[in-house]
Amino acid sequence: MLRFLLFSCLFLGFSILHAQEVELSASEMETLKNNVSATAKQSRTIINTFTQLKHIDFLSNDIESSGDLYFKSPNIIKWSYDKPYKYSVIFKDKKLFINDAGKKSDINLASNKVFKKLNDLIAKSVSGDMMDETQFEMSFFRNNNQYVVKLSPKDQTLKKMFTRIVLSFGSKNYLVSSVKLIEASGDYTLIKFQNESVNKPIPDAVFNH
Amino acid sequence: MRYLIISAVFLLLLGCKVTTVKDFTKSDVTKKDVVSNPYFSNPKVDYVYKADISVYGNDFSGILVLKKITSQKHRMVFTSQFGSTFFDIEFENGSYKINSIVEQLDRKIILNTLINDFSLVVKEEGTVAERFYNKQYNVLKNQDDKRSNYYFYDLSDVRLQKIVNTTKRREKFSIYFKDVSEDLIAKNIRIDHKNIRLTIELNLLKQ
Repeated sequence: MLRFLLFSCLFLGFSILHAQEVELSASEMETLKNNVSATAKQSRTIINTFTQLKHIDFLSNDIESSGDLYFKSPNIIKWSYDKPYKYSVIFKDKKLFINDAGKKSDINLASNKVFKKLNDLIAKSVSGDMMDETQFEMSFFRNNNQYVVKLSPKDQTLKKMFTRIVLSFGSKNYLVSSVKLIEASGDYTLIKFQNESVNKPIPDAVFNH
Repeated sequence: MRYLIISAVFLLLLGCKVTTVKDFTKSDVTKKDVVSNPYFSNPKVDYVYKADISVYGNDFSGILVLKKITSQKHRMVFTSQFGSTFFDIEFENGSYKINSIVEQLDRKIILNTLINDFSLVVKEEGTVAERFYNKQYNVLKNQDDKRSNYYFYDLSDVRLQKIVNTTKRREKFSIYFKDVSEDLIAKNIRIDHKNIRLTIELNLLKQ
């Protein structure tokens, strides 16, 4: 009896888990797109803490990093990692400024299309402004109190890096709560955001190299 | 006169010989001797390093992961801090398989160098062709086709400190293992090349 109960529970649990992700109707999709786009337009600045997990299938443990993210509209971004080591990148003025544990360097984005695409992708996913049908094939879902958007890049450069990008949005604030970048091998990077604060002033010094 | 020329040629040849174990004393190789490198031999460990690669003044930095995935096979993945993969290579018994590599690194000279370097980094055992010693090191020479690998073991703790890869006449590159923990993980590894401006530095990341 107990075993049966346990089994039912497991089975039920599994079906519920499975049933959690529901595809949105056309009208729900429009509402979501509009709300996300409106939030993105209103978000002049975003400050986030984040944790990042790099999943490589053959490893026993995911590689964990964490830090703070600063975003200033339309496309200045700073990723400031504290763990596993001090590292920051600033996307600004068509350049990528790197501070690798005190060692500074920069990359011209105009001459490096991979980094440019990566920058656009990151800027747009942080602000939520990436519902661009010319760039991605998209499908929309609801999952508990989250909206989930699955994007498959059409762009060849981006496609080589990631076959699919999964964005999750809070169902109330329409802010990005996580970004999952999935590679062709199935390995992925999952970035989860916490403590979003929107439109708080960010001192310019934060974006100094 | 002929004698002079022969001596000169002989001296020249001697002068060109690789200097890796110059001033070391040669000793007999015993049947028990094997070269061994234990630093990537534990299949239970995810070896995760911060990697800094400098090629002719260009710097690449990211996270390098090495793991022994079967008894004969190691897998190595180099990713950016953002998580995109630069390359994914498997090593097995001296051969290799490239699972993926980004265009920028997919050049013969870079690839060959990476493969030569890391094949040696993960190689666990080999036969001993010659043996040398001085006050500090016991040196075992392993012959690998046309190249020689000199394994330097510190006499005080018997730990492998460096491997020097050479042709008959020249040193090509050296691998230094530093700051080795009790469970035989080298926390700092440095690869220096002699004839190209390439260095690779690995620092262990704590999980």
